[in-house]
Amino acid sequence: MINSNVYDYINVLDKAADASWLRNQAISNNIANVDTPNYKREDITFESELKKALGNTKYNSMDEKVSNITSDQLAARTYKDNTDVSYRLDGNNVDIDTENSLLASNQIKYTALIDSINEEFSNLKTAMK
Amino acid sequence: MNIFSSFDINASGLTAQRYRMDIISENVANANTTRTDDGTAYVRKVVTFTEKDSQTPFSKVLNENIDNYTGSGVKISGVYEDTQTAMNKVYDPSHPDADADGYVTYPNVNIVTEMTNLIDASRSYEANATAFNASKAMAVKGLEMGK
Repeated sequence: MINSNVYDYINVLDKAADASWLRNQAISNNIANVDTPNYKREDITFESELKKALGNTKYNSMDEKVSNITSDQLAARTYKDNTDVSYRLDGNNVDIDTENSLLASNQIKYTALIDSINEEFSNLKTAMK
Repeated sequence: MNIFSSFDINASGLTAQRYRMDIISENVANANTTRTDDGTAYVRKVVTFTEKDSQTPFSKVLNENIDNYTGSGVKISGVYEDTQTAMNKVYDPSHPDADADGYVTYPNVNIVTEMTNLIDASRSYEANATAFNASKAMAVKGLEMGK
């Protein structure tokens, strides 16, 4: 059981929840620095990594794709958003409304991920009964 | 990755904005102060923000390379006197602080500017409070895992 593939989905969901938590930190930092001159907003790349990892055409089913993801493929990375044109004179490119909506959507995403992990666990429990 | 570091980031934003509101209040309260301890009129004060960097340069580079998040919030870098804005000169020879020509130097505080900044600080404070609540809700949700 321990060496089988039952935890594959949980492992991926766990990585996604980690990335979501990291993004919450990045957005918090952006909001805290909304009045800091020359601050550039930071964000996390995870979705593109996951898409790349799942886009492997070697495998057909989702189960195969998920079980062949190695955890270091799914590392969330921080990047500084220098490309956004700043409309502010102080060189800061944080838009408080964008950050607020990202914060809200990220919170819902995190909740959904934790619920999915719980769902996986309850499926396992049901199978073991 | 510390669980509570995002709380610290939100708290740093709350502290910074509250401090800014304190300074704005001081400016408004002293809008008509013509004599301070050194005998001159009150000069408007401004706060400056900077990104907080509690890490050593080495650990910052290390954490960036192992993909840990390195941001740690905001801090007040200083409180400065606004010497750019001209002081208000009002002709009032009967005033005890009037100069030889009969002009009184009033502080360079503009109430409208201060109120605008106060609203800005208040909104930013609320945004940080919202972010704190979001972080807290997420941390609590994380504890429900596997229940």
